[in-house]
Amino acid sequence: MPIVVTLDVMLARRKMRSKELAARIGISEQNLSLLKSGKVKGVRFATIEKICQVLDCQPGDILAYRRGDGGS
Amino acid sequence: MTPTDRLRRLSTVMRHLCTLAMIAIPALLATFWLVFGGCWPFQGAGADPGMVGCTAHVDGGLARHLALFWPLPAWKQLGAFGISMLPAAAVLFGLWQLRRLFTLYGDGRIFTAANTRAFRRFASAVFVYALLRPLSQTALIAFLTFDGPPGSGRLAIQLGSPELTTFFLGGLFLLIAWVMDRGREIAEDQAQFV
Repeated sequence: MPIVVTLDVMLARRKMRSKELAARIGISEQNLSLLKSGKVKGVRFATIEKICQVLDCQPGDILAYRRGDGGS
Repeated sequence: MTPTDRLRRLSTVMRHLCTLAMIAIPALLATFWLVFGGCWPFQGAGADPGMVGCTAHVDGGLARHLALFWPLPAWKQLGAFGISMLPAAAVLFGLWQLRRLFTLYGDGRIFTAANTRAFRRFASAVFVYALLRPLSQTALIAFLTFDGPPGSGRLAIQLGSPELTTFFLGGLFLLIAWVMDRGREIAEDQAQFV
């Protein structure tokens, strides 16, 4: 999929663990792990909003579009 | 109490009712045919017109005719019980599937493949029952009268509103099963969103 989740990069920049982020945005660690690995069909605006709020970033900081990264 | 709690509580009650019905149906049929010989005692066994009521559940029109064959010998009682158990088996299978469905609801599993499968099987059981009921009635009447005096053997096929209603309900349940399957697909799709 050409949409790539760059959440792990943002987490590293903010020096925050996945466990803490999951707890603060109110989703399970398992779901956050799936999100980080891009193994989800979609992300709710509410989830993006909470992530951006906690990590103090923009949606573009955690999602990227890469041309030619597969077509599905 | 949340709607989920209510669903769980009601499902538990319904599951117990299904279990009870699964025990009661064969027990009542066995009692009717094997203990009372095809006639409940309160219906005036052996005495015409009392016997009319005895076999009324077999077929209203032939009840008086069937009364001539009463009391039934043991082998006929056993055979009649076996024939009566054919549509009852479809009912028991349907109840078993409903019981599974209510168990799943009780566990908080609402839109899963197992739910849809159980409900679809229940709908199929309703269809099979609608088919077996008139067939078993025909077989039962033929079985009870085949060895009587010449001219007393009967073959009767009864198709009426109860059979049509059961067919309609079977179709309705099958449609609901498809809707449930669509709901399951949506729920599974939703689960892939975080």
